[in-house]
Amino acid sequence: MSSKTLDAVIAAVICAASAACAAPPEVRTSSPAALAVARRAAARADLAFRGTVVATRVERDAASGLPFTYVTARIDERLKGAAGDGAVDWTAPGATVTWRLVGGALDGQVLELADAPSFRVGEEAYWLLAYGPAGTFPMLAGLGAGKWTRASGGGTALVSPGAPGPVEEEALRAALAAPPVPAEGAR
Amino acid sequence: MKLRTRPAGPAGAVAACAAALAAALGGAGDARAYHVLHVTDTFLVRAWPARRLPVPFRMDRGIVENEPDLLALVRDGAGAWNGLPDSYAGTLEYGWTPVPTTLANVQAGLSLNVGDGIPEIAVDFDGDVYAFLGIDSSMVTGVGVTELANDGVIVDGFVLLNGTVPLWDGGDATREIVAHETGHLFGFGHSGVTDRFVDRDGAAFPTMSGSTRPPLLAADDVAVASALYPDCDFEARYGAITGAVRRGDGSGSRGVSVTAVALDGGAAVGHLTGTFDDAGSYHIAGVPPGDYFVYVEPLDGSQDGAGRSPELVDFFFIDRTDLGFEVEAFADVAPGSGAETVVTVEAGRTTGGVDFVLGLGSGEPAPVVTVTDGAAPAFPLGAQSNGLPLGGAPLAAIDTAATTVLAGTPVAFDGTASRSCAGPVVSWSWDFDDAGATATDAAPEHTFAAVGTYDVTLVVTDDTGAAGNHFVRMAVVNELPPEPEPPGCGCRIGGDRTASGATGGAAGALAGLAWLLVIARRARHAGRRPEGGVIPSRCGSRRRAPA
Repeated sequence: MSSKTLDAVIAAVICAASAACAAPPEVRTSSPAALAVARRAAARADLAFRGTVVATRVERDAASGLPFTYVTARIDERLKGAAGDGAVDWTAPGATVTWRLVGGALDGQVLELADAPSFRVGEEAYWLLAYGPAGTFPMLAGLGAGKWTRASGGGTALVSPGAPGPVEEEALRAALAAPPVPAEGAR
Repeated sequence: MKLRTRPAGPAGAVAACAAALAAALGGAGDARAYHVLHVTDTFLVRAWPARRLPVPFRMDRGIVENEPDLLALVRDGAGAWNGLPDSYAGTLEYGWTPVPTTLANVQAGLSLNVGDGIPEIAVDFDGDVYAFLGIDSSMVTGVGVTELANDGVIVDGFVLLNGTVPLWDGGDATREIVAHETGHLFGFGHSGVTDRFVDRDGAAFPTMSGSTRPPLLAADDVAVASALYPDCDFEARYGAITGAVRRGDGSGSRGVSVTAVALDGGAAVGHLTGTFDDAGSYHIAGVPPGDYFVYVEPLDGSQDGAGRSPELVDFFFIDRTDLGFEVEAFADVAPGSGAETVVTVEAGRTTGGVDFVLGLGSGEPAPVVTVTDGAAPAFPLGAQSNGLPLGGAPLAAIDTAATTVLAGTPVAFDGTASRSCAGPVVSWSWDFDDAGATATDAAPEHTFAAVGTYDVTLVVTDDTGAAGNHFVRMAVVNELPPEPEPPGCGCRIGGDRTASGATGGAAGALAGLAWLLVIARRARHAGRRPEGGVIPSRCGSRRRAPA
């Protein structure tokens, strides 16, 4: 038996006897770290809703020369934010909200913000938005933490590009209903 | 920590065990990761062209004006990428931004300019620049932005730190944040594979949730630099695994993670792919020689077949969710085929034909994986790795003490750091852009008589006859500007890297992407440094041309 094969056997034996090999239970629970991110984003959010992206466009800001991606989402279910907040009439059927984020593909160049989430027309997600200074567009609360989509498998877990693990849908909703004290930061 | 379900079969369990064992034995120092863009029938690395290395950057003038104590921390973070083993990678501080990074200056296009080819490392002290960019400053400590040409090559970018939080409280965190964001500037993304196998985070990978932080760069960061910006010997030292992942109907997978775990517990190697092509091919490059379990993990795209647009904007906004990092399933290896999953990797060779077939059934992510043997196709590492001059064009490097100099004063240029993987550099040809003045010395001097701007070009030729060029833009003045003592790094190579020849890479429509991740042991690289690589050294102060 070669040493490599022996290594493999040893590895398998050790694993078989170790807790590392135990099949992880099919847990449906929130990752503590992710939950902290979700809670902080929820606390930060001025607007939060379950919604569907209906349009995206990329435009270059003439003055700065930077491309921005504008995302418009339809509000399917309002979760946080009073009716009529800002420029958004939350109660209107099919109400939409538009936010923007630096970056996008334009004129044969792509400006990529490494931590930015994706935006695809037709995509449904929980969107957590924060108001910026007057005159600016809303922004995703916590950048990637402002977007939560369902994890695969048909469960109730939500995942976010800004969080290190899943969060139960109800946990996010609860956080939006009663935002706790902000906890851990993110980037 | 991510959720995951039980591997669906015994061999899958073995693979998972091997992963766990590798993680356990490897520890925090053994991670290694990198990723590659997969563009239809070729690979493009989201990286800088070889001739633009090290990546130059301008330091935000506002840092020293507002928080001079922060300056050293930022320098340390950005400089963490210098002197890495097996790699050309490095950063080069190239002076100050013309103006501080304020909202007014950004809005006026005077700062965070992504069109000049020199990234900026800046600080938003008021948080208003973040808001302008659409970024929430309350939860984000730094961002890395890259500008890509349509062939995926990085041409510019910036790092913007959030100055509304006390970045400089605890220098380690500040340095790490800068190192992380600078990693983005190199083209590194976040990954979920690293923390799937190694219970801690790297500086550039993936998220920053870990409780243990590397002092600056983790082993995977070091490795990503080696893999994306390899030195001449990289290909000879490592091997590769290639194959394809297809569905039961023969179509290429739209999203899988192919992972190889070293049987000796020392390395886990992974490839994430979000391919859109029909082949579903994958490459795992930079694999340390050894034996590996290879298995595949389906991601969202491979399950539901929901195609993602091949348009640029869709590969631009990539996040872990898109790539299915949160999918809670491991692939299974066909029962009884555990031995067949063992792949031997040899240095300098590609182990090919490691193919997988996903058996999708009942909506359950429990594919059957078949590992087959096959021929070893050539692995075009040079082409894949961003057109790096592995046996190709030499890398011309210009070293000068300052790029703003006094008229009538001799200026020393040094091209001895130029290198070629194909052979030694044998000739240097300088054009000083000054009334036809030229030189053929490796390290000549030239005196610019008149005030003005001069593009000094160096063309180097190796002993195979291949040539490479580079230039540095010189500002010749009558009086040096009274600015703060400029950056202390980059004095070995002070040239402007903004116009360094054509960007490499294949043209063609982007049709997808792939992320290639490799996790390996740091010990393998410990103590090694690039051989003849163009690595800017750190030094105490920047020299000025004599007054």
